[in-house]
Amino acid sequence: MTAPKKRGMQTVVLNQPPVLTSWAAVVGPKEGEGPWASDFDWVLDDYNFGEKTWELAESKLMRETIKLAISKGNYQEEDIEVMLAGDLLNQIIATSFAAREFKMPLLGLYGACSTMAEALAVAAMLIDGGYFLKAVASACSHHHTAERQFRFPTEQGVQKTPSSQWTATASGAVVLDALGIGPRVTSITLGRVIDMGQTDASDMGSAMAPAAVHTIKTHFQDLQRPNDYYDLIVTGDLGKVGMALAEQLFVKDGLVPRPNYSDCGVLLFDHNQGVDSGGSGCGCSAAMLCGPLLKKMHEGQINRLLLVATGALMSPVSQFQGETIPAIAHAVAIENI
Amino acid sequence: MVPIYMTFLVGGALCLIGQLIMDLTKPSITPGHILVGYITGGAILSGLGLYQPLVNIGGAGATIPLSGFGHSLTQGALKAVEQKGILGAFSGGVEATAAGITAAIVFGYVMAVLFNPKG
Repeated sequence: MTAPKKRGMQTVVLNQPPVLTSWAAVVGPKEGEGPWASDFDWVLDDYNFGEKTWELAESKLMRETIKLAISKGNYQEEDIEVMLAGDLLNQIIATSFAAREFKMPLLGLYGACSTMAEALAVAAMLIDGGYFLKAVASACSHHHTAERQFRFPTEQGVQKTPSSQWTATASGAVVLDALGIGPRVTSITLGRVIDMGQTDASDMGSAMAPAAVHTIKTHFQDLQRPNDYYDLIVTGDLGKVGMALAEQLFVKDGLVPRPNYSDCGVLLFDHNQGVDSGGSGCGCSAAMLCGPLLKKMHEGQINRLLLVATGALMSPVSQFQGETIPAIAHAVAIENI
Repeated sequence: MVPIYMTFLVGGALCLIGQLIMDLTKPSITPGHILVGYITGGAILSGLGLYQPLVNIGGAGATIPLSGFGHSLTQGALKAVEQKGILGAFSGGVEATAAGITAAIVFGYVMAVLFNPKG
């Protein structure tokens, strides 16, 4: 027996697709110098955001983004019944600290940089399941908190390799509503953990690309859709190195003709911004979705979008112990219907 | 007195080697490995009598880089062994490098008091 809304191996379809009624994206100064500055709701002047520490700044980033998404949709805070969110910090403190100022219940999620898609997926299933009418999904990251936790103290000035990525200071939040006007979440493919034995944390794009391609391929198989169904497929944060690998894997896995494909990590910054392979972090795909991408959907330039947010699920401890990097990618189909 | 261009060449060459080790090997070789490797390497070369010739031609270009610290450790230990016997092997290295170590502690402390690290 199969669950009535499940298709194939890893995909679910939503019978009454929840509506993305309102969204907001707030980004840091460097992201504001990139190609999409006018598509974000707010570009911060500095990395501290008026707070004492970068961790508190990251938390405030998420809180303000959620507040903005709620108010942009003419909702009150009390209208939102549940918050699904996550970030990159240990014990997802940016999220928990942001949530202590809200009255709604919290489901904290950790999917590394795939968190935005994970939050959207769980929120959409909760609403379609009839458990809630309104939910908010959010994810954020901060360049300096991520550097501190996953790499080296920034003051040490350690040299980066060309395959390394720049963790975005960015946050995105979406309000999902059972009713309303806007693009809808129509189907979801939850990703499997794929580990190809890559151990280099300064090349996470290559570690995550196989997971992204696996999820995309499974999505098409499960729904028996043609490769050109979507106007755009965006992966989360593979960067230039990972995106090049993903394009090779598309061919190898028989996803030809190649779908119309891009990557949030490649899109977020200009090539001359000194970000090596591109952007990364939960906030990278969250802000790209809640900034330029949903705006283009709202304007009708994109009608079918597949967001495939990708996450590298290592920890600083596992890195020190020489473990390989497990990677994951969740796909969320967003359509104007 | 060593000519200044020799100092530049020897010091520059040592730094170039360190940079190439980081650039041409797996990223698992971190600056920490370079730091420890240079000090250990300098100490071993010094013990074999191979580092002093480099100091003779490069002066500060050979003594200022981390390998020069290893050289001082070894030379201090060797000298102390001659004067105090085997115990000198344990005390001599640190005695010879006391100025450098103390400077690192004092300046490190002063900077920690004056500034608030964020990263």
